[in-house]
Amino acid sequence: MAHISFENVSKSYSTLNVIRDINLDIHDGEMLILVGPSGCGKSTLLRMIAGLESVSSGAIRIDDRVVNDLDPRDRDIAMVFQSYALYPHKTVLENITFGLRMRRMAGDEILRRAKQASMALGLDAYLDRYPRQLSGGQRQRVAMGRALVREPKAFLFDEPLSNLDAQLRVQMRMEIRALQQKLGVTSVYVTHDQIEAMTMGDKIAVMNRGGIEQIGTPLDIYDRPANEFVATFIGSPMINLLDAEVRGDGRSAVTPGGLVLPTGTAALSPGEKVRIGIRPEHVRLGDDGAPGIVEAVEQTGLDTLVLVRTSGTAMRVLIRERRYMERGQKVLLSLPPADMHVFSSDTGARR
Amino acid sequence: MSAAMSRKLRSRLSLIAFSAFILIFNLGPILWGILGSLRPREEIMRFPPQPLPSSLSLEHYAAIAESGFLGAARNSLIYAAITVVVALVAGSIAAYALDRLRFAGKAVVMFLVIAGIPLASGAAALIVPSYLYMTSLGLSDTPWVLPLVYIAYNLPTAVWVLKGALGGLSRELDEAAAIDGAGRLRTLFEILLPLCKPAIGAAALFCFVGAWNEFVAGSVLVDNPDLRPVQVSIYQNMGYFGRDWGPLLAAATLAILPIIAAFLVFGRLLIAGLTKGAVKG
Amino acid sequence: MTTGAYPAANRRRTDYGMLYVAPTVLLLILLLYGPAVSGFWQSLFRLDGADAGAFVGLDVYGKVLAEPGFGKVVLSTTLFVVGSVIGTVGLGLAIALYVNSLEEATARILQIGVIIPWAISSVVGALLFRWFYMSDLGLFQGMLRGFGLPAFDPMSTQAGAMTALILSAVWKKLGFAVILLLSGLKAIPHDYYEAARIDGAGAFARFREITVPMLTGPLLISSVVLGIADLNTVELPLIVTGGGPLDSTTTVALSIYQKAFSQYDLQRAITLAIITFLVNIVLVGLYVRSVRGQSE
Repeated sequence: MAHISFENVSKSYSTLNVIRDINLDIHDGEMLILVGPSGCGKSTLLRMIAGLESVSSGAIRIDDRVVNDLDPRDRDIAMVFQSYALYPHKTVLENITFGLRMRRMAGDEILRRAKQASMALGLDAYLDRYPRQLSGGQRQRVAMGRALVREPKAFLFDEPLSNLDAQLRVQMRMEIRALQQKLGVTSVYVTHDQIEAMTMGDKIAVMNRGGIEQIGTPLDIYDRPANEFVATFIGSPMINLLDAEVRGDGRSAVTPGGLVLPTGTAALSPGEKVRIGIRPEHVRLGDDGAPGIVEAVEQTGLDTLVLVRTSGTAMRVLIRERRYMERGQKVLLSLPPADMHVFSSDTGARR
Repeated sequence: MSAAMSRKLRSRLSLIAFSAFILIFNLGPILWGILGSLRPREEIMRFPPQPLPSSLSLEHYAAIAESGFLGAARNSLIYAAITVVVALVAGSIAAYALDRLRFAGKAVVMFLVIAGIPLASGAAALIVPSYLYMTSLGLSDTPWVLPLVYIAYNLPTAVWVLKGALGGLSRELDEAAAIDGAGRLRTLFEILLPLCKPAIGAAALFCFVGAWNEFVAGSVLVDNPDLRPVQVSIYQNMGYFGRDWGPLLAAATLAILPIIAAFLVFGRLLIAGLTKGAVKG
Repeated sequence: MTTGAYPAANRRRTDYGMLYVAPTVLLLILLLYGPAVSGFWQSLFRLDGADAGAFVGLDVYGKVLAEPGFGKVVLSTTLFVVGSVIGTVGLGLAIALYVNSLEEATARILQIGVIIPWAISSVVGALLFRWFYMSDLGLFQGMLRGFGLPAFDPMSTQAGAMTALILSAVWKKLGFAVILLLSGLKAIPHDYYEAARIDGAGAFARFREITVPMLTGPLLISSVVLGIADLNTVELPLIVTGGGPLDSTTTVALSIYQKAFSQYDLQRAITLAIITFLVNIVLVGLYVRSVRGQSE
């Protein structure tokens, strides 16, 4: 169990900065999710904690010890790889215990830990099998077991569920989270799947182009995205973003098409160019509001996504029930002021 | 008979004919040689030649055994074994470095290895310089000289084959091993090499065949009959037995045996290794 | 993105790579490249006689190049190398195309069949080739007579001897060309042929427009490798023809070997060897280029 921190950490290949000035604290026992689009540097950052990637400048600390130049084996971390990276010629038991053997642990202690881990993961019946004889889900568990027996200071997960089918993914997501909470081991989990990010983490760090855009609890990030990038990246279906100009009253804005949007409590100067975000589930179809015409309807069975054109803009509207609507149907949209996110058109930052 | 059937029959016949031609052209000399080694002496000399021997005889094998051939075969086995072991150990570590590590001078080393593959078969151009070189080092006519030369001749191929195999293994295996606490060499020997068994087999086979078959260096770098390798012994027997083909064919058969045996076990590996760019004529 | 095995420590560990290749590099430099360099150096000095050790520079080179025998050796070497390479690659390509069209099991038997002569030693190969094809006691001459054809002794004419020598090289190395070209053929995606078919290309057009261009790499590599092997083989001319008749099959490799170790004329031998080595360097350079081209 450990506290991991980044202080002004950067990494570059010649002129290309792949990690830009990261400052980050991961507290003891916490599960931090690194999420972002592909190529944003999240895996690189994780691998820097593991010691698989070098650090160009700044300091990474595990329990207040700078680990920049430490070999992976001296960092006392365990990692679950996307491909699992099981040793194909070793049995499940040998895979799980290899790391303990390398640390010259006593044989009976190795067996005790292997037994404990395989029980926890439901692997006891497979200890003599080879990875090729296992299903995808079982391999994933072996990869988990290999990390578990080590009883390391921290777990690192590099998109560990991306090779599983959807059902198994949901199940493993819960199991990993439950296990992590039970053991209370500091964990860093990389994913590009925002559902995993939202459901598994104590905290989420949203990354983009080598930097961290926002760190916070999942709901914090969802409810108060720090900028346009975070707002669009987190949330599905995607948030509606409308260009607008702040009106004279400073409390509302108008789109080029003439749609008037409340801006809530933010202090804005009249004439300022802004971009207004409204999550699809916050738009209401009701008895009053801006008139619009239904352009498309998608039924998921659980809910209904409607594309509505209003004052020249298309707006996604998510209705949390099954409702039958038709193309061309006329509706009224209401936009609650409290649910508006206002971003600066220049910087994309939250106003 | 329908046209389709006769076409099928024709293609079937041409298949058999062409396959037979390939096999007779390629294997005829070898099979005829093995048959000849088992014929009684009079029958070999009989004119015209008979396709099948009337009776089998081991007299030529007895004759060749008395000529010092077996000692030469033993020498070559030892030379080849040393070549295989050293080339695999040095070669696998070098292949690992060339495939997995970054270091200054890597491009130069790669060049030395790749260029070494065909260069090692440039025996004629190298043999006089090698003879003078080894003599000036005092290595000529010692038990060490042939194993050393054979290692140098076969090491580039071994490195190349092994590097190709290591390159096919996921880097995540190295990383998992690193996190598990394994050092570089342990990762190589305990994780990576066990996954390259076919390539190790192919490399071993190349080295063995290369050392066992070598003639030119063997004929000039050692003079002592006790150090003589097998191919040189066969060549010298050609002068000794002259037109008495029987013992020569017996020696040839014995010299082919290890190769054929290795082929029956590892033939597919060798073809796979050859295909993977281990290219030596 | 990965920069090395585990690069956290890359800065400190750059030396490990050199350490790991050190045994290999030392062996190659001391035993493969060393002799070549020292050979060139030694060729500049008198090697024997009363004034052994005296610097003679390139004098001997001039003398060797001017000798009438040199032109003859160059001619027979060229005939042998070019003839063998064309024969081996040509016949190898034909067999590879044929084998490629067969089903797996038959193809494997034929592959093992053609590769065995390549795997046995040149000494034994040359011996068996002579015994089977050239000896009047061999099956081949016997079969000729059986078909009512005149038996002949290839060694009775210069052209016959050269043909026999070339055929021995083709026989010995054919399997190598077949395997290499076959793997090249297998690497051509089948889609290309199907697309060409749909575009209306006939069998010959498909061969010319798809097979040949896609096979340039393997064709070049096998030609270069065979060229180096044939240029340097001592065993085949030594045993198949003995260099005769009238030195017509004495290639440069055999000439070096005989000059050095039967005539003990080391000076001429090493000079000739260095000249041959230069030709080898050109071929090796071609080889390295085509191998690099292949692996990219």
